[in-house]
Amino acid sequence: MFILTRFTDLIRLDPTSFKKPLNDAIVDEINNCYANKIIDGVGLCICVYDLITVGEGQVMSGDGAAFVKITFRMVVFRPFVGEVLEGWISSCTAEGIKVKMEFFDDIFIPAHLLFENSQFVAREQAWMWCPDEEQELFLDTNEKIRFRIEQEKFQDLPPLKQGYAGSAAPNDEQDPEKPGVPPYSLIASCQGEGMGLVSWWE
Amino acid sequence: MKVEKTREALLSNFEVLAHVRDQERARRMSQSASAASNQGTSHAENLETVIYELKDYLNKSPAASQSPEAITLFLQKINHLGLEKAERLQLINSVPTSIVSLYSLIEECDQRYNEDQCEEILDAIRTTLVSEEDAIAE
Repeated sequence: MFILTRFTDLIRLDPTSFKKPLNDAIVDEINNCYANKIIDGVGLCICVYDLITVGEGQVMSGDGAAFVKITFRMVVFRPFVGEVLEGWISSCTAEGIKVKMEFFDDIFIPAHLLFENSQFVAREQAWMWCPDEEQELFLDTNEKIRFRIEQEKFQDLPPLKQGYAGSAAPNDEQDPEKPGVPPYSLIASCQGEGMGLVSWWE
Repeated sequence: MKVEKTREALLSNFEVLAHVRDQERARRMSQSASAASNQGTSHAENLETVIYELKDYLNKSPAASQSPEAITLFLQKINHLGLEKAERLQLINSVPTSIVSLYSLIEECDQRYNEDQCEEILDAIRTTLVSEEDAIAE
């Protein structure tokens, strides 16, 4: 589920951070820039794992900050295709099931990757699986579900448009037409033995 | 920013949780040190958010009660079966206790392993990775 990724970067250490030990200041700065962010083709960054190399601090003209070239490793959330994970059902629609994990929400199980003989029950707003004639098993919201990763999708998004001087300018004309494509999403399947609600198989 | 190597290593849930806990301890230490000298350090909101959510998830997972010794012992026990690295990682992360969940984690399990071998894997899991409280709960 988690991997280590090696990056190199040139970071800017603000003079206010000079009072801290150098490595602490660097780790804090990297975490500021990377934590909880998705990097195209890499995954969801969690936090710094370790620093590999730290270059000499350089001062550029007109700026009191130090610029340091560093190599470091990050803990990144990036499940491999075929991995089996557990999460919670956040919503059911006729198109499929949305699954969330506490720190990552963009997991979707499309209808055609659900169990055979399953159907969407609009009255219950839930998916129902009939393994045989008599049984009806419901996949309700907030239940713990086990699923297999089938596909990963990265979407390179333009940077957020923010106004200067801290005023986050709302883009009223842009937001409604953009349904919010997530930068990193996972397509999962829920077929076969051991999949589906965790409670079924215990 | 340059990505040098995307998948340098795979981490188990246990390793991630241990790392996060270590980091937090270190941060609390430095925080109390800086509070003593009256220089409050504020930490990034994005980091706090993701760490909080991640811990919320991992503390409910089997990783919360594992130890490096238990994992090493488990790997030694199943070493001779020739499982793939990704499969061993998944066994440690999900800790299957039934044959059904074992089948879902190991590819073509019925062709590669006979019933005795599957039982052997489950047995190794029960004796090493399942903590005592969990075993009683079952």
